[in-house]
Amino acid sequence: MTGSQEKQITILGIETSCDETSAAVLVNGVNLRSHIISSQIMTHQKYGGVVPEIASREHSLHIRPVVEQSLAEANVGFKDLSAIAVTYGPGLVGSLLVGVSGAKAMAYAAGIPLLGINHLEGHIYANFLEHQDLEFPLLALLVSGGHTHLIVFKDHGRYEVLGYTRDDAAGEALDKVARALGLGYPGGPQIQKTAQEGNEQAFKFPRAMLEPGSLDFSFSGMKSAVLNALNSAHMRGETLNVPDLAASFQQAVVDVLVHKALLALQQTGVKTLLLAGGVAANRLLRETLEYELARQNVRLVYPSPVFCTDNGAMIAAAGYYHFLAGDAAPWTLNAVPGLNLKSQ
Amino acid sequence: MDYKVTSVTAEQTRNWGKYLAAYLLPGDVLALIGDLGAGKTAFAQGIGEGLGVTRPMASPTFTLIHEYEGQCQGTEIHLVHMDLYRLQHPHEVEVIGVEESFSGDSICLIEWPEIAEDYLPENRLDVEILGSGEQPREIVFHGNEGNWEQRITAMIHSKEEKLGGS
Repeated sequence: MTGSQEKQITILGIETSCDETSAAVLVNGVNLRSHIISSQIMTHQKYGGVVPEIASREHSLHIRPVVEQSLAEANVGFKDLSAIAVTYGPGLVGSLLVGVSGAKAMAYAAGIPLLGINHLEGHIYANFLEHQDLEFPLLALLVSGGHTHLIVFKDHGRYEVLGYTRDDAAGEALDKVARALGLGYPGGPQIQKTAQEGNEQAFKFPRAMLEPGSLDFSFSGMKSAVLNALNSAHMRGETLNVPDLAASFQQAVVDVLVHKALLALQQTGVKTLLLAGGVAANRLLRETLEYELARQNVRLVYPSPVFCTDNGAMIAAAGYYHFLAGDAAPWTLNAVPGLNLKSQ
Repeated sequence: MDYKVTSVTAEQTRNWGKYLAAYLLPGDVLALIGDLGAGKTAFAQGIGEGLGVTRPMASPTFTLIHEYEGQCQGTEIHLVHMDLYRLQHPHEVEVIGVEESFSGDSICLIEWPEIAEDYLPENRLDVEILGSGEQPREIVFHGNEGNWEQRITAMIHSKEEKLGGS
């Protein structure tokens, strides 16, 4: 498919910020021509978490074959690309560097622009892959292992962070509780699975709402409440029902996320909520929001599960809109492990 | 010699971090030890507050290393907040760049430091938070080498004076 007739914008997206080495070719923002994810999750399962040493070594082994495969499956060459988009933060520095250096070299050699994408923005743009009819303003609830944010988008590239976690991210709290319950990695899906056999009313865990009207989150105290329940039972020589604990904790986390999302919708008057990040795949969260938002005539949009976890397609999608805006990263682009989402 | 103080709320734990911040110097390395939910992140947030960090300090468990800009004894410093909870092998400590953070213009806070034992400088302050759940916490300061003993006693005395002596 070299030498295409009509003018098309073809973006290669590359993501290496954490577990996954992923590359995707996206045409005109909607036509996903290839999407390769080389996951290290099997390796990590053995260790009960992301092991960065393995992460960066695996990325450097995988990046070339993953990019080559994505180009081959899309039936394009470097000369057909309009730009290369790459995650430059936040994430693990070693892992990010593999993607950034690779993308930089490829874009420079191909003589095309390099686009530096914020990983968090990428997660939100996963929604644009499958929904082209999204109208601004949009409210995004980004929930993952490292982040919990409420962000309002006035337009592409124009957003304001309304709230974020003051301590643990929602996914981190789920991960840590899963580990304390002996459920394994990744914690979120394990909690969800175990919770199916449990009673979500069995334990009354607190819901940290913070000051009235606040859109910030705090999951640390909720995590501690589960640990306290486990510890005190242990001291009394009792064992607690693990499915009940998982179900009650999952319910508490979902209640807080839903409450804050509804509050943000109410405060902003926005009529579309985008879910993003790994925890967006949580069924209870989706179903509860589905139910609550239908009552308020608010549209709920979320990505397919494959686009909820880290992936190159979402980076290509964000890259497409940056390309349209005329953005380009300098050749000095560096990995920024602590990159934030700043209101702009 | 160990110095102990007590804390009955997360807020008090945070405040002890804030008091300690006034006695820190550029280049300091602090190991924060304690179980899940003991209050390590709250203590670190207090240090950040004391060092004039304005950005929110969330838990670095997932992202491993967070860096902030702060002020210490009148100079600009980087406050590096690490969490090694998820590391499994000591050599991963090298790969994520823990040692690179030990520099004269940084103050380094390390949660779950046990795995990095071989890489930590001898001249450091260990802060161990004992107790969990609803129990009050005992915060134990243990200075290895350096002048930590003077600094910790000065902090505790100043705190006691503010409270009217005890």
